[in-house]
Amino acid sequence: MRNGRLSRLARKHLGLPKPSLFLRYFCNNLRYWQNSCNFVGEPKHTDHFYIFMQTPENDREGLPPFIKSWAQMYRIVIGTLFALILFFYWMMRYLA
Amino acid sequence: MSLIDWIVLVGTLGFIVLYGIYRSRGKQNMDDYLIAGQSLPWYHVCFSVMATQASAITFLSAPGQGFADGMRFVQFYLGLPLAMVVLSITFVPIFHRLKVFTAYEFLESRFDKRVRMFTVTLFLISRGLSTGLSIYAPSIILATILGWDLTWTNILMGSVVLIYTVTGGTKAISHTHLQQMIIVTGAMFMAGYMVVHLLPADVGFVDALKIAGKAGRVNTIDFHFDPESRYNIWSGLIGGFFLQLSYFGTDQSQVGRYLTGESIGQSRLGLMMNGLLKIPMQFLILLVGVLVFVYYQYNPAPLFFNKVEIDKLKTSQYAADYQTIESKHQLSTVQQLLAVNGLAKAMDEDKEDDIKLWQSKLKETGEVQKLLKNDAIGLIKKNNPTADTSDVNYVFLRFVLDRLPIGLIGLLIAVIFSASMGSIAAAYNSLASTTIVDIYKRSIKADASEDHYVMASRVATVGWGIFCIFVAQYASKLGSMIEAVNILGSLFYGVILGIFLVAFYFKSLGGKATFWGAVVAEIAVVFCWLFDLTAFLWLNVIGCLLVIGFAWIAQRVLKTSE
Repeated sequence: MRNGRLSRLARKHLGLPKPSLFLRYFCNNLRYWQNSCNFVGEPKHTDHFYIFMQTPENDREGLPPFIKSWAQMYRIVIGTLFALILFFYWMMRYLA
Repeated sequence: MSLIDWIVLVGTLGFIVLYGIYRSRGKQNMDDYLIAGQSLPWYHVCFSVMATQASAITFLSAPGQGFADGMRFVQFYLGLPLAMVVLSITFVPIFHRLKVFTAYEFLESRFDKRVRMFTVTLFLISRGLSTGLSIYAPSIILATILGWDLTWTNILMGSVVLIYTVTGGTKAISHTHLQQMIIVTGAMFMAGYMVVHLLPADVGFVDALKIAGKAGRVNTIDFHFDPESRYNIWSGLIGGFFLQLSYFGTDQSQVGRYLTGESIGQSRLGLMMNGLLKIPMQFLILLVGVLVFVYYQYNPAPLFFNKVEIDKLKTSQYAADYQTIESKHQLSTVQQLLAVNGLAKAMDEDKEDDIKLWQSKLKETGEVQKLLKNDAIGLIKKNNPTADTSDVNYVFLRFVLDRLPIGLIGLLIAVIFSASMGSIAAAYNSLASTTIVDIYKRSIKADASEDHYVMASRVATVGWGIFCIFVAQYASKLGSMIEAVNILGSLFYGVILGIFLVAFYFKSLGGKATFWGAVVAEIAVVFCWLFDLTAFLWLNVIGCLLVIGFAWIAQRVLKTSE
């Protein structure tokens, strides 16, 4: 059975979206949640979806002065992780 | 231990307890008692999160693992920074803005009471049992090596922390975490310095690292993908990511720590700094173990580091057999010294052939010592079938007691107590807050006063303290205890994380489907573990993905939209 037919059957009987639609599904959800974040006043418990990623990207509260945005902070943390992996690997090869 | 060591030990612990009580004095409401009034800066969040994760087991077992198995355990933490980023983007804003006391409050608003209670039950079981292990693990080692009574050591370990946890709540815990981390970090640096100082005069830190590298102890990264292997870069990055995400995102003992941040930004920054500092910290702790290994290449190492079992063996019917093994071991240590000196000289002269020759000789003596140790373990087992045959957890403490100067011994014992107090305090607090907020206030007494709930939280803290000490008394003997705690966590954390990920990312899935998906997934995870189908780190991934998969299928089957 060809893959296309199998996935069509799976979609029909299990209600699964196309594999390529998974990404769009998440993107749509994120957009939906982001667009719904502009409520006024204190959030209620039922607003859980709308709070997701509510903090705007330009909110610098809590950031050290030399870091421009939270996205940059995340890049620094992930970059440090990969720098550490490279350092560990180099150290292991150098000392072996 | 000498009088000076006792003074240092009691003085350090007394200071921590009194400081905790002092910083949290005054009347407290629920906000103050359970989340420190959300008033703490990022460095409190960072050190509190680190102190909660780093239990006494970290400082006993990790150097032992470095000694016996090298540095590959560091890969276990590689997923942590990635988990911190996801937490900061998703979990922190949601929990902060909903002004929840516990992570599980959110689940009822998203799904229903049933899912909340199921998750609360999984959390209380896993956290209650693992806190008992966190008390028992250092207690058994201290009791064995120092000749203390195990029951009283368990009671001391579990109850000292109750004094400031009950009176001061989360504020006391966060302030004492900061002190504990300063003491622990300082003492571990001193221990590392002392190991290098005790090496022969012509062997420096870099030389020690080179010898460790040639002996295969600097095995930090393993790119080979093997689901059966506990520690490789893939299990660390993928399995570790899921474990850390579920631990930090859904375990109230951690959620309760970063909820104390005075804003979303402060909580996020605390977690980011944890992501930056945790791997180097773990690397340094393992490095101390590796340096201890190098020290024992130049000095005779005990055949078995649990001296109490060896002493029992020496007075048993197997004494003569043991003496034969011991004399062979002494002979092998002489050969080991020859090999390590030859290796150091060859490395100095940069003679590649000699390096390979002495390296293989060092490896040979290592293999001989391993066989002799297995023979000794066989005798220990014959002599005492219930004896702990793993000495990994005893390596560092044995070294401290045998080789370090007076005063530093007391300080390092205080480090073990401090680390233990840090994680146990957070665990008691999270167990109490979950019991009161998610069970007592939700289902038993919904409209009582603030004072009533604060008092109930104090009673719950004492109750959980007693329960955990009780578990500690009956904890069976384990291999590497740090692994036992992680295995216990992996059985439940993946499923709990799956529930939270469904809540955050799959808005079409309802409470009924998620509940049944989680129940089936938990059964499947326990099945995988019972039949040893995969290494424990992967249980987190399996549990998490199964919840999402089963909930999706259940939603289709039930055809309910909630």
